[in-house]
Amino acid sequence: MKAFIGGCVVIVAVVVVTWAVLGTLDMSAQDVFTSGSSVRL
Amino acid sequence: MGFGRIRRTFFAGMLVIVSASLFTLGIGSGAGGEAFAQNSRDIPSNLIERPVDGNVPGGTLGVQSDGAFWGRVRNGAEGNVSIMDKKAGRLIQSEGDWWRNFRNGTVSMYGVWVLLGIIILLAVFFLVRGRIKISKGRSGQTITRFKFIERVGHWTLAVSFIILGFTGLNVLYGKYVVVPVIGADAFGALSQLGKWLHNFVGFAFMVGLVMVFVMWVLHNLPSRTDLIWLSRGGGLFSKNSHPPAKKFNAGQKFVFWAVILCGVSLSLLGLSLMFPFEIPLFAVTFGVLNSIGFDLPANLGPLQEMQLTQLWHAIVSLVLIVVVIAHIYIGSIGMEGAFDAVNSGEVDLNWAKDHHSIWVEEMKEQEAGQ
Repeated sequence: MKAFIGGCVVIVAVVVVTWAVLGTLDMSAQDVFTSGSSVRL
Repeated sequence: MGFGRIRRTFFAGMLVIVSASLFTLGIGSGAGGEAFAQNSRDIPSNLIERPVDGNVPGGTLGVQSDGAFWGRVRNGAEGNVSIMDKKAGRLIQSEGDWWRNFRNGTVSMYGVWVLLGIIILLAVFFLVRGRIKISKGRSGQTITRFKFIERVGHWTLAVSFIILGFTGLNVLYGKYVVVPVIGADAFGALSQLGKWLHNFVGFAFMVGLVMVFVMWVLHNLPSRTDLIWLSRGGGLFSKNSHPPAKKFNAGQKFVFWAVILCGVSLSLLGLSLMFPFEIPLFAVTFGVLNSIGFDLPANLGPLQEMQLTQLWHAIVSLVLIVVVIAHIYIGSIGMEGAFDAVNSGEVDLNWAKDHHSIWVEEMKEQEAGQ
């Protein structure tokens, strides 16, 4: 059970870090990732 | 057969499986192949109208009838645009017809068959074989099978894969299964959340994949004992038959390599889908495969790349879901004592002797040597 919780903690940590890292990228990359669309003009 | 030869055969087999799987997309021949081979980006030069001495050919009426012009547009003719997004020069991407039919037809239909098939197969196996018991019952003594960090790696991979599996299946089958139950509006909100989860949890899956690979790859290299294990069907089909095995038996090695190969493939495809048009994979892959004798279309447009990426992501996902369902079965209700390995990490000694007798001996020798 402890290992299961440990795995869930790793998942949450990775999600938070990914979100934070993407937030530091330029807006176009952020838009692409969060919208799933990349129509760029 | 020497061990080195077994290992070389194993890796050659892996290469063939990956290549053959790619070929099963059918894009090198048949209906799908024709659809993708018709890359109408290559417009014959005599059909390209360019101004001559500052005059537009045909003046304001052009040199073609409207029917011919729109016929070309419908078939995917590509023009030039002055904006940065050159994809906008193509109004209708006709290969999308084939992609939609293949996704909503072939992939969805066979996906249902394989998912239902594995569940029915396991149910029948359970009814016939029953739960695989520890042959001498629990001994009361335990042996450490997996350390804490190994189990954390397993659960990181397992939980993330289950989230990815359900949210992915929602994309493929949600409109048929979920919409009738909760309605279109709630399905829209749920799918939006699912997409967000799928995108971000995908990175956790990659972390779990790396953890598991690093910790277990050496134990999952093929060995002679795998042949004995396989020749006796892993002891799955006869009671109290337990072929010798090391830390992982041949069945577990199959699951390991399926997870690693499919997982790496899914990760690359997922990144390509999350960052559209930024990471094209298929033209390069097809180029490599063509160099070893395949005849696949290597001149792919950006949208064709995305369509193939989406299809292959769905197909590999379905294959891996089938493998993981079988893995979950044998690791839980299918076998007494198996779940302890990833729960507490301590397995009963009699269970270990039944299923991993060589590993138990190795552990005893290690203990005695310390």
